[in-house]
Amino acid sequence: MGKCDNCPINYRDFSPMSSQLPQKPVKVIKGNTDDLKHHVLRFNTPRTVRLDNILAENVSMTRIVDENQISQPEVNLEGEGSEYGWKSKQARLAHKYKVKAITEDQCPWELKDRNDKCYIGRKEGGITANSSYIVMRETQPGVYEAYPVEDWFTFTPKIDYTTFNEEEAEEEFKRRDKTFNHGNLMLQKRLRVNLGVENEFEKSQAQLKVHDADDLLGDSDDANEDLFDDPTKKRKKTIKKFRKSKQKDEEDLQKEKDDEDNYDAHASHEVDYISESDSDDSIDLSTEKPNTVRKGEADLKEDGRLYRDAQDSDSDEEETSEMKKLLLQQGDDESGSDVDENSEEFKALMLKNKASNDSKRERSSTPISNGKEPPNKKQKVEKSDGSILTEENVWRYLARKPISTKELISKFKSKKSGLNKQDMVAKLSSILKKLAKQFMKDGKNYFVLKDEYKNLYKDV
Amino acid sequence: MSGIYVDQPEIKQKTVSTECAQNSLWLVKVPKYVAERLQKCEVGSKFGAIQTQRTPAGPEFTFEVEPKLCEPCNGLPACPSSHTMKLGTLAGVNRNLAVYSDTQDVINIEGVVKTKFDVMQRSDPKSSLSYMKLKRFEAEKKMDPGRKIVITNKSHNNFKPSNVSREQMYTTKAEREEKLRNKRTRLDADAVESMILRAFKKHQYISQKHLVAITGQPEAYLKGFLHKMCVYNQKTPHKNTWELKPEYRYYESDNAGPSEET
Repeated sequence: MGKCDNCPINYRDFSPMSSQLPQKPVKVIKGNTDDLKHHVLRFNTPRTVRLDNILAENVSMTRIVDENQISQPEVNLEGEGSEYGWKSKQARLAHKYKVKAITEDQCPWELKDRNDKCYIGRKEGGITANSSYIVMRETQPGVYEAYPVEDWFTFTPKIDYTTFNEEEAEEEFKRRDKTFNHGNLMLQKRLRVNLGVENEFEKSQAQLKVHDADDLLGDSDDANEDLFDDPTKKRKKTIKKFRKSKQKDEEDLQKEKDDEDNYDAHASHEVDYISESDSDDSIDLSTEKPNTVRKGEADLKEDGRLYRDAQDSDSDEEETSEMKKLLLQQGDDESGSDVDENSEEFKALMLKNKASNDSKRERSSTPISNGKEPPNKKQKVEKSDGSILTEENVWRYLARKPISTKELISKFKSKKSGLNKQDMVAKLSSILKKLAKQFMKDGKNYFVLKDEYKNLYKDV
Repeated sequence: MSGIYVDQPEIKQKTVSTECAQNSLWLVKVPKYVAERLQKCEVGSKFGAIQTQRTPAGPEFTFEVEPKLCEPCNGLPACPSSHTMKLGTLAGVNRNLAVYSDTQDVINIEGVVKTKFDVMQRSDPKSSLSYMKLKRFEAEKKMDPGRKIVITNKSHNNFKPSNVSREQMYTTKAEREEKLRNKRTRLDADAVESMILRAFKKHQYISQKHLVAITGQPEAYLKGFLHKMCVYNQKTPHKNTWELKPEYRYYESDNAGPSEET
């Protein structure tokens, strides 16, 4: 086997699934094992490796000899400090105490492939303790040579780093939340204030009709809470409720109010969630593009998106194109969560919720009850023209980072452009055609701004 | 290994040949007795045969060990010849297997394991009987104690009378004559002193036994010089050795020390 002239270049891959099973009996002869031992290399790597990549040209295999294990002469062999006959004395002692030199077989292998990736191969014990292995190789068609296997070596990638023990890891973990560049952080904060972020914030605040920061915070907390509970369940409930409410008229609502009183603690959460989304929308609609608020809202929407993802599995739309599917899901969601279509009913619902009062609920619904008229009016106006889906808004999203179709749609879906789905897609695609070029990444379509439009709205 | 020095053989650097690395190999797990038969088999001669049968459940493989090899010989009992060969899985840590062969100078990568088989004993009556006999033999062999009690009628002598002395028994005639010829004779003091100094120039610590051998002087005569010129170490690390007194000492690394005097 040592001679490679015998190796068949076009070996037959003898696998049970292949159609060409040997018709005649295969003859097995004993291969030449004179001063030649066969060993198995086993690659135990976290990922599957391609052996033909590793065991290609320029692979080197060396024995690692542990210097500590090799005994060094402790004294000079000649001159000062030397002892006559020291070596023979040591040999006598080694014989007496059965101390043996390290043999080649005891040393682990170090295998370096052509990319200098290093593997350490240690001799495996137990495998051959109760079983034996034979390697067979086809030399001629129908003739196999058999060789006994001597040793197994398990190769693992060599690591250059040291790992923490338990205490060290604990120590490092404690330091996780500490801030070390505190001075730097404070400086940055001060700089930001000087640059007028604060002013901008105030400006946006001035445009808001109703804004209760505390309220918003509370709501977002609630949203998070919902996330950590069972989101799909609650979501379903809300959707169900709204669908019902659409179908029923005022009298039915009145009846339902009584049922509502029997709702458990979860019911209150639901209402919170709804009121939150509404208050958000009112903020969003009343101000064209308030930076700070939108940021917060974006976070909320992020949550909402997660929410939707969880729910996606429930909706059973069969559509051919991905785009259409997305849009349909969006439509489905809208009918559930976003109440802009029939604000009358929504109002009624809110009133009803207020009636079935507890203190928390009252607080959360205050913004709506205060500014009952203006947001609704605005919503109606927005619905008619769909001005959220503008070139500028699309540009803003694109300017940040490359964005996928799905993400983009979800951004505008939540904005309540008031447009029909088809219209919205048509409009969006026309804008994208103008502004962006698309590229594929991980099987998704991404859009990025064309170079000539990079500074289009920068100073606005 | 602490404290005791062992001469280490040099570990050679070998070249790796990957010419055959693309070969696909079978790894066959066999019972131990089959592996023993393979060891016994001569190089190049037939070891066995694999037969394939098509069945509705898929192909079935049979491994026949050469019947000649299965006969009892050299204290080994007969073993079953026919075996089933089951297709094993190459999964988990077993999926990346290669084989290399190790010779004096070259390591040959022989190929990659593509198929794994498990050779197992058949369950038909003939094979079973043969297998059970083999197992019985192995079990009996294991239970056999190494030493047995034998009752004897006569008393047994541990020693045998001989007409040669113990010395004559363990040394050759030439050695004995050599020893007589080199009988230790007392040389004059200067010669002995210079011999001692020469010996101590090479090594700092020498045991008395070795000094006698080096100088070839009678032990009692030599001892007088040693007491005059040397100190005796009674403690480790150089226990029971002689060392020159500091005023006689001169070593190359110790230039500041007093020079050699006679």
